[in-house]
Amino acid sequence: MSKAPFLAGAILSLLGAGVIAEAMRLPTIPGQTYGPGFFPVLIGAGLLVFGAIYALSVRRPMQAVILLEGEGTAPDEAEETVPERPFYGALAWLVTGLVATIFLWETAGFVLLMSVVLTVFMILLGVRFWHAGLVSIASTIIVYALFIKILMVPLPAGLLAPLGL
Amino acid sequence: MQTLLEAFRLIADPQVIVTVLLASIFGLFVGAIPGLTATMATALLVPMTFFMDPLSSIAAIVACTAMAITAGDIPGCLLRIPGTPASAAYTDETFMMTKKGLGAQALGSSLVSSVIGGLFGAIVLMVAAPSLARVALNFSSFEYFWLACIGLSCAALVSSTGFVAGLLSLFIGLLIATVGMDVISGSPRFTFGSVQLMGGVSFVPAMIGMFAISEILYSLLNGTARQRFAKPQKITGIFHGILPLISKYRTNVARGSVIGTIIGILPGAGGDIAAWITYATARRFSKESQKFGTGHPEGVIEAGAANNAGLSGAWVPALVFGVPGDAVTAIAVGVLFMKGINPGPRLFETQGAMLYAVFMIFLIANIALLPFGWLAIRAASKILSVPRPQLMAVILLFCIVGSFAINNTIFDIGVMLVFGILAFALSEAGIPIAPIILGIVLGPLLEQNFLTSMTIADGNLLAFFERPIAGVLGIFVLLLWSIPLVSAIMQVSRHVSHARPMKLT
Amino acid sequence: MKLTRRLVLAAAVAFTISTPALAQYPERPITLIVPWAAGGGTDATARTVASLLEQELGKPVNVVNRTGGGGIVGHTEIANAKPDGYTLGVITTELSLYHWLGTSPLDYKNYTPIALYNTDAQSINVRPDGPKDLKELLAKAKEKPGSLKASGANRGGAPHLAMAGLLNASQMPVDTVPWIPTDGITPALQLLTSNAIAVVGTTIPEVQSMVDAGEVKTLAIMRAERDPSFPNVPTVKEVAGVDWYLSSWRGVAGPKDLPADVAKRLSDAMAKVVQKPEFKSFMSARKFGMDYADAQSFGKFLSDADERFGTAIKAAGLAK
Repeated sequence: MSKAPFLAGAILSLLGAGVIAEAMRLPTIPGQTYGPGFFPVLIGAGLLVFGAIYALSVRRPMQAVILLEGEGTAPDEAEETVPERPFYGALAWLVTGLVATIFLWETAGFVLLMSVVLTVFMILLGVRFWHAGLVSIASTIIVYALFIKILMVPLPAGLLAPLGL
Repeated sequence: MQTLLEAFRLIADPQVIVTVLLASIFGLFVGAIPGLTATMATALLVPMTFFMDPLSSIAAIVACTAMAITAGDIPGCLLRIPGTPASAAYTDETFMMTKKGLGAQALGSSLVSSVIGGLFGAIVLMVAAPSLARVALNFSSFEYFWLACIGLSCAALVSSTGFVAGLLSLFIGLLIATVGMDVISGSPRFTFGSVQLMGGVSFVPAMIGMFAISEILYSLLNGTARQRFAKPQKITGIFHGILPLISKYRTNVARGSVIGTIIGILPGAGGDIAAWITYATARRFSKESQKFGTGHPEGVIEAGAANNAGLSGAWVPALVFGVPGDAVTAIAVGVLFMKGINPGPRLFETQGAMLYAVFMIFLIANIALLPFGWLAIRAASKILSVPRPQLMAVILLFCIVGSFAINNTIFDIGVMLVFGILAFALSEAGIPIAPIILGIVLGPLLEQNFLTSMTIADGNLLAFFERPIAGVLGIFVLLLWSIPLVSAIMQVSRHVSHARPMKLT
Repeated sequence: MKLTRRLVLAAAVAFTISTPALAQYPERPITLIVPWAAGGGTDATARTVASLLEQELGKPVNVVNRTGGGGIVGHTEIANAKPDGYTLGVITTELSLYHWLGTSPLDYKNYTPIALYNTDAQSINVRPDGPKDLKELLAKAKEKPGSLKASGANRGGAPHLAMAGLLNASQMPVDTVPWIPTDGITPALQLLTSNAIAVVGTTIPEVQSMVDAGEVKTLAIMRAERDPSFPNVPTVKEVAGVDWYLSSWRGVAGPKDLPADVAKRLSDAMAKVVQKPEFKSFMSARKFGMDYADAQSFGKFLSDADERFGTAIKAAGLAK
C-alpha cells in the first residue's frame, strides 16, 4: 500500500536532482542575474525536497494524517458490482496499439488502423467479434468523414487511399 | 437611445439570427468533442466570415465560443475528458457527480451559472469597457507576476489529497511547462534535441492523456472495464432542482462572475486561470469544504460562472485597444479589422450602434445557451448507457483524433500516451492530477513575468513592491502564504505531540 | 505472405501517387503547410491566398497548420516534402533567422521560392509623452545607456533584431537600449502602456489601434522609403540619418528542386492572385503590407533578408 507513494516520492526526488543538474548547464544571459536556468533550478529543488518528504511521510506515522485527509474523498464504490480480474490483455493491446498507431499513422491510414486497434480492444474486453468490428468500423468512418470534411483535419487515408476515402 | 434602437434594428436582421443559430450549433458540436477547443471552433469559422456582413461575423464568433466553452464541460463531466484547460479545474468534481448519477445535475448547474456569469460579463462590457480597459493597461509584468503567484496558491486549495502531494504535483506541472524553447533567452530547455519539443509539450494532448487515458488504464487494471461507467443519470424536468441549487449558492455565482470578469479583462490571463482561482476560493470560503472532491456542486457553480464571465471580459481590451485578452479574441480582432471595424476607443463613438448590437449578441448568445445547452446535456447523458467496452473504444478514438487535431502531428498522440501512463502512476501513488494542469497553465506566466521584471529592474527584487498595484498584490500574496504556513507549522507541532493517539485511530 | 501483399499494395499506392506525369499540373488537391497556428496573421493570409490560388489552379488548395518549435516544425516539413508541387507552404521571416541562431540548419536554400506576397517593415514606438522623434530617443539613450528599455518580442525575434541592427547602424553598442524579451507583442505593449519600459519595436499594423487610441505613437519606420499606407510615418533614414531597414515577410514556397514547369505554373498563378480585388481588400483591411515579388525576385529578396538579419543577429551577439 505504502510502496507506491514511497517509490513515486523517491523517483520524483531523483528527478528533481536531475533537473537541477541539467538546469545548471543551461546558458546564462550575460549581465543578468536570472537566466533560463533559474526557474528549473527552483523547480528541481522543489521536487527534490517535497519528493523526499512525500516518500518519507508514508513510512512514518505522518501517514495517518494524510490518509485521514485524503481517504475521505473515496466515492461510494460499495454500490458498484464487484470488480473482475484485471484485463492485462486489453491493457497490453492498448499500449501496443497506440504505439503502432504512432508508427503506422501515415502508411496504414486512419480508418484501417483505428478499426483494427479498436476491434481487438473490444474483443479482449469480451465484446463479440462481429459487434466489435461493426462498432469500430462504423465509428472510425464517421469520425474520419467528420474530421476531414467539416473540421479540415488532415487524417491520413493511407492504404485505403485508392478507395477514394 | 437612438443608438439602441438602431442596434435593435441591426440584430433583427434574419441573416444575423440564422448565423447565431448555426454558429451556436457548430460551437456546441465542436466544444462537445473532446480535444477540440473553442479556439479551434473560432479559427474554423474565420473563412466563413469572409462571406458575411460585419455584424453576422462577430455574432457568429461570439455565439460559437460561448457554446463551445460550455459544451467543453460535457465530455469532462461525463467521460473525464476536459474540453478546455478551464474545465480541467473542475473535471474531477463533475466526474464524481456523474459517478453518483448526478451528471446531468452537475452540467445543468454549471450551465445555469455559466449563463449568469456570461451575462454579468457582457453587462460589464457594455457599461464600463473603456474605463476598465485603461485600468488593465496599467498592469505590467510586476503585477502579472503576483497574479500568477495568487493563481499558484490555489494548488494547495484545489487538491484534496494533502499539502505535500499537491505541491509535488504542482512542481511536476511547472517542470513540464519549462520544456521547449525559452522565450526569454531563446535557448531550448529539456528538449533532448527533439524539434517537436521545441514548442513545448502540447497542452491539449497532455490533458487528454492525464484524464481520459489514465481513467481507461485504471479501469483495465482494476477489472472494472466491463462494468457500467456510471449510474444511470437522473434527469428530471428542465432545470428542476437546479434553480434552488443556484439560489442556494448565489454567493458563489456572484463571486465567480466578478472574479471571472476581472481576470478576463487582463490581457493574457483569461478564463482558464479564472476557473482555477474561483474553484479555490469556493473551497476556501465554503462551509462544507470537506465535501470538495467528492462530487459537490459548489465549486463547479462558482468556476462555471467565472469561466464564461472571463470570456466576455476578454473582449474589453480587445474592443477598446485591439489588445486581445485570449486566443479567441485574438482571432476575433483579426476579423474585426477585416470587416473595417477597427477596435479602439473611437469605436464607441463612430460605430456606437454596431457596438451595441454586438453587446446585444453577447446577451442573446448567453441566453440561448440555456435551451441549446440543455438539449446537448440531455443528448450527451445518454452516452453513458452505452456498454462500457464500446464506450471506451469510442473515447479512445476521440482521444486520438483530438490529440492529433490540435497540431496535426502524430507526436502529440505519443504525448497523450506518455501523460496517460504518467498520470495513472501518479494517482496510484496518491498524487493528484489537477495541480499539474495548474502548473502547466501558470508556469509560463510566472516565469516570463518574473524574468521580464528582473530584466527591467536590473535584478532588483524590491522592484516587485515599488509600483503601487504590484505592492498591494505582493503584500496580499505574502499574507496569503504566511497564514497556511503558520497554521501548518502549528499543526505539525501539535501533530508531533499527538502522534500516538492518531496512530490508534 | 500477408506482409508481402501489404508491401505490394503499399508500393502500388505509392506508385499511383508519384506517377502523375506533370502533363497537366495540378491533377489533385494541393496542400499548403502553414508553420503557425490557426487564427494568427500568417494563417489568415495563407487561407486567403489558398482560396484564391484554388480559383486559379482549379484544384482544391488545403491549408494545414503544422505548428511548434517556433515555426521550425512546419518549415522543416515544407523543406522535406516531395518536390512534386502538391505540398507547398507559406514561409515566414523566422526562416531568415534559424541558421544564424543555431536553432535549425534550415535556410532559404532549402526551398524553391514561388512568390513573396507580404512585407511589413519594423517600426519604433513610444508612449505619447515619450521622445518627440527618433533622433531625440537615440540621443537620450546615448546619454544614459541602459535607462531606456525596449521590447516587442522574444530574444532573437525580428523586432529585437531590428532594434539591434538600428543601434548597430547608429554606431552604438546594442546594450545602450537593453531588450526586454516577451512572448509576443501583447505583453510588450502592456509593459509600454504601464510605464515599465520606454520603447516597443514591432510592425505598424500591430500597434495601429493603440496609436488610434492615443496610447502609443510611432516614431519611425525601418523602410527604404515611406510606406504608402502610412504616409505620415517618417523613415529611420529621414529622421536619424541612419541607413537601416528591415522587414518581416511572408511568401509561398515549395521544397527545393521543384520541377521548372510546376514552379512556373504556380508563380504565374500567384502573380494573378495578388492582383485580385479580394486579396487586395483583405490585405488592406488587415493592414498587411502588400509587397509582391515573383519567383526570381523573391529568391533575391530572401538572400538579401538572410544577409541583413545575419548582420543584426551578429550585432545583437546572438549568432551561433
